[in-house]
Amino acid sequence: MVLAMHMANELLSVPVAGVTLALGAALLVWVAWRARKTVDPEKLPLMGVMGAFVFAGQMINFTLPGMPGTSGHLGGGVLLAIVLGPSAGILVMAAILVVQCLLFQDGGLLALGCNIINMGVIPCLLGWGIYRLMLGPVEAAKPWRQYVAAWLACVVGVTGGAALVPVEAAVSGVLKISPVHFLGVMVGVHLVIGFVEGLITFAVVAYLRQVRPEALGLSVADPAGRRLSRPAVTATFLVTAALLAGVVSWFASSHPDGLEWSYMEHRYGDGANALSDPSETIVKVDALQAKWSLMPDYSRRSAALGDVPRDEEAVEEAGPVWPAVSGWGSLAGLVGTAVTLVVVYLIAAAVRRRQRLAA
Amino acid sequence: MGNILDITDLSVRYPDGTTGLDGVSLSVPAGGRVGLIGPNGAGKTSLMLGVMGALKFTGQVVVDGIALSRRTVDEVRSRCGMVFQNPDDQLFMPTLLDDVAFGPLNQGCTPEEAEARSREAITSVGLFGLEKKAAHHLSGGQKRNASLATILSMRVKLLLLDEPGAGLDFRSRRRLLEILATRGEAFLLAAHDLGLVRDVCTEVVLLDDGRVVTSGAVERVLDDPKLLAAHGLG
Amino acid sequence: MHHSHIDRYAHGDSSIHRLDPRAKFLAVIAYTGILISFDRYAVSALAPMAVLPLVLLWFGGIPTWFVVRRVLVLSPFILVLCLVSPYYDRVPHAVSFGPWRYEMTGGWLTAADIALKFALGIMTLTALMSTTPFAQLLEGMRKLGVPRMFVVQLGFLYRYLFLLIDEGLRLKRGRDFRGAARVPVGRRLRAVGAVIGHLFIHTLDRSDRIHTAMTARGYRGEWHGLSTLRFRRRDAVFLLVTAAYLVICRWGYLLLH
Repeated sequence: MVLAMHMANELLSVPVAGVTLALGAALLVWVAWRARKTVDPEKLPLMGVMGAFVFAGQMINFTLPGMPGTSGHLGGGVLLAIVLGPSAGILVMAAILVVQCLLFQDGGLLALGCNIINMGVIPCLLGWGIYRLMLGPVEAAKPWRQYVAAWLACVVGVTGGAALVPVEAAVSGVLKISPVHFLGVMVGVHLVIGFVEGLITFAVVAYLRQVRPEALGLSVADPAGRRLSRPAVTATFLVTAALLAGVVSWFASSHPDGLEWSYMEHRYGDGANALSDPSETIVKVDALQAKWSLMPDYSRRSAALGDVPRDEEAVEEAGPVWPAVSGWGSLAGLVGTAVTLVVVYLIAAAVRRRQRLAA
Repeated sequence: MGNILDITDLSVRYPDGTTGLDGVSLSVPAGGRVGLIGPNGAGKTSLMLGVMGALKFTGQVVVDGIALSRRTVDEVRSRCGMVFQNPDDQLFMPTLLDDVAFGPLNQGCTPEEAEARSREAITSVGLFGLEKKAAHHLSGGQKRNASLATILSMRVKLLLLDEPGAGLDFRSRRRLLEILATRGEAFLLAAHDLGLVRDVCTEVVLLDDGRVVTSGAVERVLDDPKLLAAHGLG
Repeated sequence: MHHSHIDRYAHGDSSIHRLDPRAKFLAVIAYTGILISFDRYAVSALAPMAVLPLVLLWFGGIPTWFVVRRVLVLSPFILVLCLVSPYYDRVPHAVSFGPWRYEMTGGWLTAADIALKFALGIMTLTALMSTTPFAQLLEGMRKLGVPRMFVVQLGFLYRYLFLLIDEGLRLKRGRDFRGAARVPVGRRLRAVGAVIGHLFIHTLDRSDRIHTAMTARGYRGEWHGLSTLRFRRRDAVFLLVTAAYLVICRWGYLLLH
């Protein structure tokens, strides 16, 4: 099973990367300030050790019965938020994401902002919000309620974060994909991932309740937590959830180019299609879709259902203006690069040999 | 007064109510080498943690003439240092040099001073060349010596060593012995390894169940098999 | 051991290893930014961008197979995304290359573009991480303005990462060896919860012990660090040359008009 999907650099445009990095950094600063209220400031650096725990925890996988080959594991964000509070949780997740990016090249350097938001801020905040809302006062919460709250928190938190990926990708405009399809896939896949992570979190919370219940009451055990009133919790959760839902649904429903693309670019009819469409499978799927889709343009069908529509909209996509380089220009560029590389390689090899001899 | 450490009637109670130490008194003379032996759970680690001011206690602890209290705890920690049983708890920085420099920097040294002291300490425990290594690159024996270096760089007068020989192979143990033998600091060495105690220490204190059973010269205590057997040793 | 590939080459010695981590880090950030700023159809324009990562890798003495393997191991997810493009983007583009001309859909161009950018990006990041010890990179980041508290957290994470992964592996193996797969779901889930929960408590306790060790060495909430980094002239030269190189790669085509 594909692991939690880290955002890659290559799907982002520079402005989106810049904005998300700035946003991520700002959120981290805010969260670090808030964390001083729930965690002893002297112990704050030790949160890094908890980050190491998450890595270890991720090695323990759990296979769903009846679905061989799929195994899920702990993402960590929601569990951390439940036991350490959302602020500390976000900090730890951010540290984890940075380490994953640098040491494991998992997730792009410029995509860190997105990743911190998608896999840190959203799961921790949303997850914790749901958990606390469902739970009520921690001391009085019945076990089953706590477990279900933890599970639900994961499902919503993980899926919520994943839903932002298509938004970020679409605004960047690099990957040509129908945003709604992308959204559908991401949400679908992550509902399952969240489900499994939720089960694991559920089990961990059950264990902790038995063995170290103070760990779960952590957010209430200190005075700052007790001062946290239900209205405040509800407000945080509702605002985050509303923002997220608003962004995603605006995006899905009223984003005009989203659906238009995939249809406007489908060139029905023989001529151009046959030339530009190497794959037979795609052609067949396409034809099927064209024949049977009820609202190809969300406006009308020009042909009756079952017939192949005529090529009505030969729309050339007005792409960004890239200085048109002639074929010779690009060949020159490539040859030049190759020559440079050969020279560089020879120099490097010579330098290394000299170093080895000198050593 | 020649004692670097004077413990009088020290009692420690754990959070769950059990008694860790009950009226323990012992002394370590300046430059002295005292072994602390006893079965598991006797309270050896608690005693050391108490001296370091890491546990609540009743009684009196005087280190280098300074009575341990909440006000004086920083000063006391500049005079004595504890080498933990598990080096992984004590080596927590990304590189060895950073770890060994942690203490001096907290003591107020400038970065240059701290670095100089650290390099000196690292060399004195035989780890020269490994300054830039991360702790997970070191072997068990090297980690143990590295732990020691983190305290030596603080120029303390009293070392509290908690099971320094545990888990070491013969060669590492011998190297540790050599290092300890040549140091000028006083130390209190808690160990199961009676051979180590015999080799390095001049006096021994036998602890059991939170109380001092007996103390005296190494030969007297360690050559009494009945005594040792009665307290789960030897 | 998991850390074999990460730290493996970072403690080597080469002209690249000796560069200040700040210079390398900034260069990689700038490179990545320029890399993703290329239009999604401008595949061949990416060619010169291959020079920087290869320079770093070759002069740094990092074996090619190691880097290739990193790229391959990490590619599945991005490949899936790449291969989606041809389905959605059917706009034909005329692609010319020297004397050859042919047609390709925008989707395939985008796919190639993303794949190529991905490979170059990974190569460059690997070059950075293989020629810079992580601790040194952290110090560089702190000097560049990353808040100290966060850098310290990263330090702790790094320090205990391998220890914890080993613990996690051991627990996983212990579970697997006891025939975990054949146990009914409920019990299996409970076992997973117990293992992870146990790890959590263990780590919590460990961080308490570390805190005790820290306070025993005089820690009072303030962090002091050694400063072992020196920004030298060659680091400035490296940055300037890289900047010029990036400008040429990205906007040099304008000159070709």
